[in-house]
Amino acid sequence: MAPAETTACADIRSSLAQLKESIRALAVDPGAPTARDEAHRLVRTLRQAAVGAEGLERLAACMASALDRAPAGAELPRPLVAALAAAVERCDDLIRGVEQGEAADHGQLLARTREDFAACAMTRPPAADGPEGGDFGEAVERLLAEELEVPAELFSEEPDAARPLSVDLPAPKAPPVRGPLFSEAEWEQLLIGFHEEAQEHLQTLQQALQRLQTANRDQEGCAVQAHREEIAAIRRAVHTIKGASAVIGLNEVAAYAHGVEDFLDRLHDGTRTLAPEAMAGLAEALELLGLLVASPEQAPPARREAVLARLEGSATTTRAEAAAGPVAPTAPPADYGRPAERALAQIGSATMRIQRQQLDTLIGLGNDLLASISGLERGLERFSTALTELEGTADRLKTSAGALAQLVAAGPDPTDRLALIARAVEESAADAVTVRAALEELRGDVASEFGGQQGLARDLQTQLLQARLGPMALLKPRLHRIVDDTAARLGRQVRLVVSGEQVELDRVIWEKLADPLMHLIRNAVHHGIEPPEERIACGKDPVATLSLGARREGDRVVIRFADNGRGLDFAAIRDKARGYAPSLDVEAMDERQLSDLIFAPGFSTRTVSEMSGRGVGLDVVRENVRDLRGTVGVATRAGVGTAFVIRLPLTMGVVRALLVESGGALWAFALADIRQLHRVDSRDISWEEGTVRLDGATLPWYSLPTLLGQVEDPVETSRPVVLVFAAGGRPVAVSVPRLVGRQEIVIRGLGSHLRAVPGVAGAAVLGAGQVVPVLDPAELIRAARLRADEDRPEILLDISRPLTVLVVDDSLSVRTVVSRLVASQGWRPVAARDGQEAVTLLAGLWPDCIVLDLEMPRMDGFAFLATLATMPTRRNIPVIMCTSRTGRPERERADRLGVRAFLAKPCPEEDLLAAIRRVTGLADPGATGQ
Amino acid sequence: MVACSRPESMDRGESPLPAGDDHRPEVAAGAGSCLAFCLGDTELALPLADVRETGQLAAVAPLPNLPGWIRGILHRRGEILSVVDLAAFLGLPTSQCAGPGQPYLLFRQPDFACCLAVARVGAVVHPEDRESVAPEAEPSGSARLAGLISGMCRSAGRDIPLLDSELLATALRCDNPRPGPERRAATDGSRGEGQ
Repeated sequence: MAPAETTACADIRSSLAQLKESIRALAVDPGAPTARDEAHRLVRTLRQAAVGAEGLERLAACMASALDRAPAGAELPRPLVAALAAAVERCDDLIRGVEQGEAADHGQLLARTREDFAACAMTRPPAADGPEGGDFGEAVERLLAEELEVPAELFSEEPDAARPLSVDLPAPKAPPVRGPLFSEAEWEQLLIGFHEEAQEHLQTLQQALQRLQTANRDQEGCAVQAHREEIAAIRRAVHTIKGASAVIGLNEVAAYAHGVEDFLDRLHDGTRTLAPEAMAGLAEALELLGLLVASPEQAPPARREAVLARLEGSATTTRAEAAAGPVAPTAPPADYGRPAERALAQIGSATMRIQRQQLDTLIGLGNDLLASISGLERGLERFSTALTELEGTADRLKTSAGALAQLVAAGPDPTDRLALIARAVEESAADAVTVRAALEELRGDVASEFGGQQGLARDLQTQLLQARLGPMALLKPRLHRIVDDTAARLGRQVRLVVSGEQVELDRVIWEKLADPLMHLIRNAVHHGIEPPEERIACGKDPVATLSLGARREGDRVVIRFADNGRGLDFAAIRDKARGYAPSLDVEAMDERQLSDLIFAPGFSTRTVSEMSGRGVGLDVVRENVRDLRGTVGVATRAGVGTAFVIRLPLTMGVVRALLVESGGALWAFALADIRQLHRVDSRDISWEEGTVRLDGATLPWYSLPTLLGQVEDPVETSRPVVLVFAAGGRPVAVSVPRLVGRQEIVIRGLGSHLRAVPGVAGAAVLGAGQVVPVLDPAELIRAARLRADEDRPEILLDISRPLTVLVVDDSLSVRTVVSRLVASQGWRPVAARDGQEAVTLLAGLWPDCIVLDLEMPRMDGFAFLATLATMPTRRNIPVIMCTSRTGRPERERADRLGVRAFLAKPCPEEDLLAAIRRVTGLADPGATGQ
Repeated sequence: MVACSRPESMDRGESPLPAGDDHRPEVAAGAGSCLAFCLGDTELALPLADVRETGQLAAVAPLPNLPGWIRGILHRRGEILSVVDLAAFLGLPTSQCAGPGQPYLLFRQPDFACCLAVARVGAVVHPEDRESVAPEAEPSGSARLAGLISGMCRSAGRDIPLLDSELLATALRCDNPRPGPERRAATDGSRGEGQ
């Protein structure tokens, strides 16, 4: 042993001996402040003396951390004193091993020590006069007196990797925030979500750190002032990680992030120069944060403390101080020197995150590949057809050769020319047969190769699509919370039963479904579920059940949401419909039509408190589902309950499709949508009645060109092919001008601009790059009916159309508050930042009124009014000016420009609402006023 | 409105952009650079950074239930894009060269992309000066266009109205995609409802 090492060992021995005495004193009196302080001091001394002896240093750090965490001012828990005693014994073992040249496995010792301290942390401190109090002190005495050896079985236990990580992370079986709201699976989802979120922030801070490091390297230290943006970005990311980890109970992460954030605060607010040492410390601290998030076992408390201590030391180091050299650059231990990227890469080692856009691109390429290969299949079919023709040609040649031979045999052939020709033809026939056989063999090879390629492409595409899928279970925690919150608020007793939670859909689709489902839940609890006493009186379980189920049905996912409440109150719905639309023949409406009314925009907004049935905001449900190219229907029975059924197309999958041509363009129908296919005589079609006779039955009939808005071509439709679909639960026939063929296609979205088009399920790209719209027959027919309804006096839309209010203000806060106020009335707010944007919006918008600010950039309120006056179809839209400039000149000018109401900011809500009602004619002007 | 004058390079038979069926303008062409184009007699410009590609339209697949200014969709480099007849959208006379071969600009904003069909793609111009202008009252029914102009860029002595990309994208998004009158007319009365 070298002299220096001998000296170090002696120091350590000395510290250990003193530490034993302190612990002995604590075992006698855990509340003795002097002994505690002394123990704390000695642990720190031991740690300093052990620098370079990794195992010992880490054991000492472990002890220091435990003492740090112990409640200040209170007596030390006895289990903690015992754990300290055991840790000291292990330090002894390590020293002894070094002295005897038999290095102990410090990893095992450290793990055991961590477990001991973790057990202390999870044990409630016994009362001072508890039954085990005296015995425990004796046990510690005994431990120390007997110089307890490390148990041999310690070394035969499972390796570290298999141990639970309960030291640094809450034990998975007892996460602090789960409570009864979170199942194991949900807890897993929370953790996954945290890791995903944390990785984004780690990437952000890593990018900022790189910029900071570059500047620091170039300038040998950089001015903080010049890089506040980077520091702020890092601080924001660390702060967010801290908050997120605290929310889900990862307190170790939160505490460490808090320490790093403290340093960043000081750096941001006080330090002038970021010295290279501080830069190195920050880099190490952030790397450790990544490790702590990803692999907590690799970021033990000792290391965290060491890193934070170094940060603490460097926080006040200015460039001048660094030049003077009081703080030596900290050479990170080799074990700590991994680049931050590696830490990031370790997050969720079983998963890897990529940008959604990148994944979508990959999926698109995979789809293109599959569609392209599918296109080859059609080419192969044509090749087979050509081979068949070649076979026929060979047969005909053979026949001709035979006929010639007979001719030669029947008569004289002085020059043998006929015989020569006959032989040549016969040879050609044989050649044709040979060529055909060779081509057939080639076709077989290509077909085999093609089959393999198609299989590979399909596997590739399936796997790529799989990457975007997520189970319905993703939504479960949110939905449970909504149920509990709403039920508690309304005094209902409700349970949510979810089935089919393993059904997978694109994660984006689940996100878009979250709002409609939450809306349905609130609606059901609010209006469908009876109070417990009413349910008991009806003979029902006082605890109502909401059931949410999902299942795959062919190319669709069907989501069913049901309650066992009172059902829709058709009398109330009819009454409301009668009140809102006197022209509507409400008495003639059946229950299906009345059920449909509850989805009408705005229909239910006035019935929230009066109507016992459903309705509030169900238009939003239908609209969101339509955005996903799906449908929603409702079924109800009085006193039994109500069920909503949402059907969504699996738009990302590969489907077999029938290609048709209409109006010179190709269109596709999913084969799964087609029930039957017939060729009919045009005499079976009644254009007047819009029906077709098929197999003795009369079905509603539509012409595809008409549904598509094309001009009918009588030639094309003389003997049309008729496809039978199901629309609204009934068979409907659609005639198509020309069939093209079947093909495997991948249905995609319509792009970022169009998103959803009525009657179009998506688009497919054929092998040659040709894009083909994929039609949704039921929705296509529905859209045609809506068009027809629009051509007649509007009935349903009139009764339900909410006001649209254009809010024009350059203040985001004003826009937000006014928009929310407008929305709270069941009206539709549309916001514009200034007059210019409002003019643009008006090109496609017809609001019922405009709430207008005066002072705005680009185009102020008066300029907007002048422009509005030039728009013939919009000039009569009533305008309410709401401004802080309320002088006489402004009022008079506004009046000249046609403003209908002039309000001073800040404007009371009721005044603004009264003004809107007045200018739109919703209320009697005299009754509302301004 | 400024009348569309043919850029000199085009007069010499040269394309203002490098040769090729389709061209992706280099972003490095300079922040603030614009790409001029013509809609009939009207010359306009868009920020070059928002035009990701120019080219000539191939076959466009029509879609039902949309306003007439949306021609349909096409497939471009793995992406489905809508094709907007910009002149029709802005209420200007539509191009006589509508159909395959018509020039287009691939216009892109965050979460938004479409092909703008134009009459002619002009030159890349580097604005020497840009000034805020209030939209003029346009008697020719182009109030929509007036609301989309954010300033002027000057090229070869001409002031070219510069479209505000964000506003344009907002306007294209906000329009209610209902059938336009021209398409509605095609559906009217061609058959009865049978139910």
